[in-house]
Amino acid sequence: MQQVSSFQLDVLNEIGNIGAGNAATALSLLMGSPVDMTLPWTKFCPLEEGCALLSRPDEVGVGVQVGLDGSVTGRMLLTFDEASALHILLAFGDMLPEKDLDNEMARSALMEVGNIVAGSFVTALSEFLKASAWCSPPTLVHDYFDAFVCTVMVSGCQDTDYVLVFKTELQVGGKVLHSDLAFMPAEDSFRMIMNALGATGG
Amino acid sequence: MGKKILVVDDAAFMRMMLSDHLTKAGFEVVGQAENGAVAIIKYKELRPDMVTMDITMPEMDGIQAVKEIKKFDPAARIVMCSAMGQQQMVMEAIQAGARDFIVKPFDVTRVVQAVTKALS
Repeated sequence: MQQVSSFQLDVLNEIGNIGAGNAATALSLLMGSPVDMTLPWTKFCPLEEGCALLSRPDEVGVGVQVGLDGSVTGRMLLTFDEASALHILLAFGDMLPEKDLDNEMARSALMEVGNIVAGSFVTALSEFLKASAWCSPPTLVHDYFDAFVCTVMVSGCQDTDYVLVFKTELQVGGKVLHSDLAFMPAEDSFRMIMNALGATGG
Repeated sequence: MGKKILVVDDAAFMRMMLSDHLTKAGFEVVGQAENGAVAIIKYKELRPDMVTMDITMPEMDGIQAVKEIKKFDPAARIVMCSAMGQQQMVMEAIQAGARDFIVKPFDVTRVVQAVTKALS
C-alpha cells in the first residue's frame, strides 16, 4: 500500500484547513449568517476503508458529489446526516421557503454548499500544486448511507485506489454539525500530489 | 422600467438568489437559463440588455455560450459568475467578449456594481 508519512498528512491537513477557512467565509456569505468550519482529523486510506469510515449503518444521510477537472482529476463527496442537512436548510432562513430535503430549491441550496466546500478544498490544493483545477456541477443523493457512500466513492473512480478523508465540523446557527469530506484523486493526480509532497511510495 | 437581465446558472438556488438581488436593485429579470445552450435560445428570444453567465454548467458551459451569443450579437453585454479558482476560465470568457465577472457566492453590492458598470 502507498504510505503517507505523518509529515505529508500534516501538509494535506493544512491544505484542508486553508480550504475550510475559505469555505467558511464563502458559506457565511451564502447563508447570510456566521459559519465556521474546522477539520478535527484527516485520514489517508484505501477506498474500502474510506467507505467504512463514511458509512453510518441504518442512518439516512445526504451526499453531494462533484467531479474534478483540469490538472487535478478525481471525485469528491461531502456527506451529512439528515438532521445536519435539515439544520443547514434552516440556517438559510427566509431565502428558502421550503426546508424539505426533497424540495428542488432546498436540494439546490445543499448542492451549492457542497460545491463551495469541495471548491474551496480544490482551490487550496491547486494553489499548493501551482496547478489549475475546478469542480464539475454537483449532484445530490438522499438515501441510507450504506446505499450510496460506497457506490459514489467507487463509481467513476476505476483508476483510484485511495481516499483522503477529512472529518469536518461545521458551526452553523449555534450548532456544531459533523460531516465528512472524501477526496478520491485519479491515479495520475494522486501521483502528482505525492510528488509535490515529496513522497516516494511504499 | 429597469434594464432587462437574463440570469444563467445551472443551480436553481443561485438563479433565485441572483434574480432576487437584481430585482431588489431595480433591474428586471426577464428570463433564466440552466445551461449555455438554453441561454443562447433565450437570448435570441428575449433580447435582454444584460446576461449574467455562470461558467461551469452541464450541456454547454458559459464560455462557449458567450462565444455563441457574441457571434449572434457582437454588442451583447455579459457578466460572468465564477466560483473560486476559475481565474483562467474568467480570462478566457473576457477574451471571448464578457465585460466583467462576479465571484460566487454573491455579494449584493458587487453584483449591482458589476451589472451597472457593464450596462453603462
